[in-house]
Amino acid sequence: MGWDTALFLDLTIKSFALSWVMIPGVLLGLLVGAIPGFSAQNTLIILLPITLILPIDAALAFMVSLYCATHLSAGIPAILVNMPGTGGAAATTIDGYQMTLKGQGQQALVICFTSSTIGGLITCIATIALLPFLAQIGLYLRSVEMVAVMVLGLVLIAAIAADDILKGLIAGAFGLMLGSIGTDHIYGTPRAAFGFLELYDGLPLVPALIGLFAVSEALIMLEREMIVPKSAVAESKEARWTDTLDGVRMTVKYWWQITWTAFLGLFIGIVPGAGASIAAFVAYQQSRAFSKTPELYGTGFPPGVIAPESANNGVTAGTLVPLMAIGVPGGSTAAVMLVVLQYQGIILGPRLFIDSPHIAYGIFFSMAVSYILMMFTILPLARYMGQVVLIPTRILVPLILTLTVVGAFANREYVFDMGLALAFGVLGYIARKTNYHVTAILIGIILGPLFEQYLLRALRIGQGDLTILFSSVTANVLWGLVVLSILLPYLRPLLRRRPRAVAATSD
Amino acid sequence: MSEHNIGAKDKPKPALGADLIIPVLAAGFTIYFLVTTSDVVWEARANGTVIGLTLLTLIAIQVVRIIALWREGAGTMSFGEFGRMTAGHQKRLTVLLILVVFVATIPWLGTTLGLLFSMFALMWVLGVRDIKTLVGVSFVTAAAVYLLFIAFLKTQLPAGPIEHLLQPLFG
Repeated sequence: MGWDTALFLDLTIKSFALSWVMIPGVLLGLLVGAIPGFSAQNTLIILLPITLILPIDAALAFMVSLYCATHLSAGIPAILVNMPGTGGAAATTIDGYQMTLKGQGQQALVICFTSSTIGGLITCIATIALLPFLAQIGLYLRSVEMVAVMVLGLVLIAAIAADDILKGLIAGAFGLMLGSIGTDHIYGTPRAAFGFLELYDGLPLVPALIGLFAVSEALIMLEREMIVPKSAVAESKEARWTDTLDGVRMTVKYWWQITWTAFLGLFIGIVPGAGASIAAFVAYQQSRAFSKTPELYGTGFPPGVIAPESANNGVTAGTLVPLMAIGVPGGSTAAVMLVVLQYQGIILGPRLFIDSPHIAYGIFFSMAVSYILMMFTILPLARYMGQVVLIPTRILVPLILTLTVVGAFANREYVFDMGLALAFGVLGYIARKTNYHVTAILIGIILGPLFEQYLLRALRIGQGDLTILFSSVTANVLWGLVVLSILLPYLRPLLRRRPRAVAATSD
Repeated sequence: MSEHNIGAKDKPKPALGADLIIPVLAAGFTIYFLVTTSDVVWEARANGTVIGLTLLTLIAIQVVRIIALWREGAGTMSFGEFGRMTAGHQKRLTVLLILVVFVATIPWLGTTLGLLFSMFALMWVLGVRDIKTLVGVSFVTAAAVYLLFIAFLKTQLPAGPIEHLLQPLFG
């Protein structure tokens, strides 16, 4: 199906008319996303009875608005207290928290909100226009190409910890090893589970995330009076509307950054299983790799917030593309939506665009409208949210520790996971103190099971022959990107020196 | 940040021994993985073996680098702040102990009561002495978690006396 102005106009009006269900979805999503451990898919599962009795268009509107809002609000704790609400916001901590420490927490939040909503909105519109073509991308990436995508992710681990690449690689590889815990995908053989049945399903991501980021940060924070240093307290206290406008101005200045990182998120989101975490880190690394001032990344540089936030919101539209086009959910939240759609008797796949275009396209219109609603709901709140950093740590630290440890339980409902979060908290504390990047460990844990899954699949197809990994054009292009990502940080100084040398010679 | 203000001469040498804690933990886990999976089918150990051997190689390079730095006199083999019991560490260990007790007793105390006690204890350890703040913040936190996650969202958080008592009221 091509462009249909009448249908799209009708869907826009209908989506705005569903605001009654989208606003609660947005508000609940903002709350849930900001608390580590309480994910969109879990909340949707809990609320499944409600979504099943709603009309299908209202149910979809509710689910997508909650889903998008969790992606946006996960950046709030990442910026204010250095602990991401979900893995997708882990990359936001790198520059977002540095901005807070400089007394620019309010601006960082505004940048996060605007780049998230604009990035999400751009990709929604692009998806609506290109949906039938985008659906093909997921089909080009098979296990062989996915291995290359994963290796690209591994290289990014080293690039994130650019101060000491070796430490970054060790941290990342350690994360990958931890990601190998649990039963294998083919025979179900338990590996390195220390005898705990709770680890047979693999290392749970939520306790690892909570421990590495929330608990470890709280253990560091408790020696300070407040999150922000004394020099930045006055700046943080004076929350002004002009700071909100300043954040908007910073975002507008980097509009191109929002656009291309959002598209990067969209394309990564289309790949089933890739998700927001990978998209955010890839966007952050690529943004830094192609920046004229890469040395500013990690010091509280606005594009360091824009790139991951725009990308992880670009993912939201992307994960729904394979769901709608081929009936394969791109992520766990999309899988919950699949259940609701199937319950309502909707048959997903290429026929959906002909049989039920109002469903196929309507979900993206609802998403676009939810981003517009979010912009007006959350942007004015940035001024007040920024004040969180002024709460004394003797109150904030107990709040963070108890709530996140409870959050570690919520995902799988095992008390074991609460203990695991504490163990990862100690590991994260040591890693932070000795400059082994915790984000590198986390991305390793995220990539580990996926890497194993695709590697084994590729090896079985190639009957154990490793050269199968270089057997397709797409894979080879990706391998080229891997090499480029490794070499670019070394080549850039050389390339910069050359024009200067030429200029000096001509003088 | 204050490190930048300290003169180069006064700056203590980096504690290189501390840089070995994570590699030792990583190497220990990798060896455990490789040993315990040595007799399983190749598909079950292929991924771990590839990554594990890469990790052990990286750790070996790091060890060699640290020894080289130590021999150059660029650092000491001490564990820095990990090697001594500072006031901060004492506070940290007490906080961790409270959390361990919280996790260990939550199946009996339940989430609400566990949160109430642990919030109170944690704030006390971190220096809050105002009784209104101690009781007020602990109560509001426990009540908010109960209302939002147990009463409204129906999350299956561990139930104790409070949850059982309020069950007829909130379902």
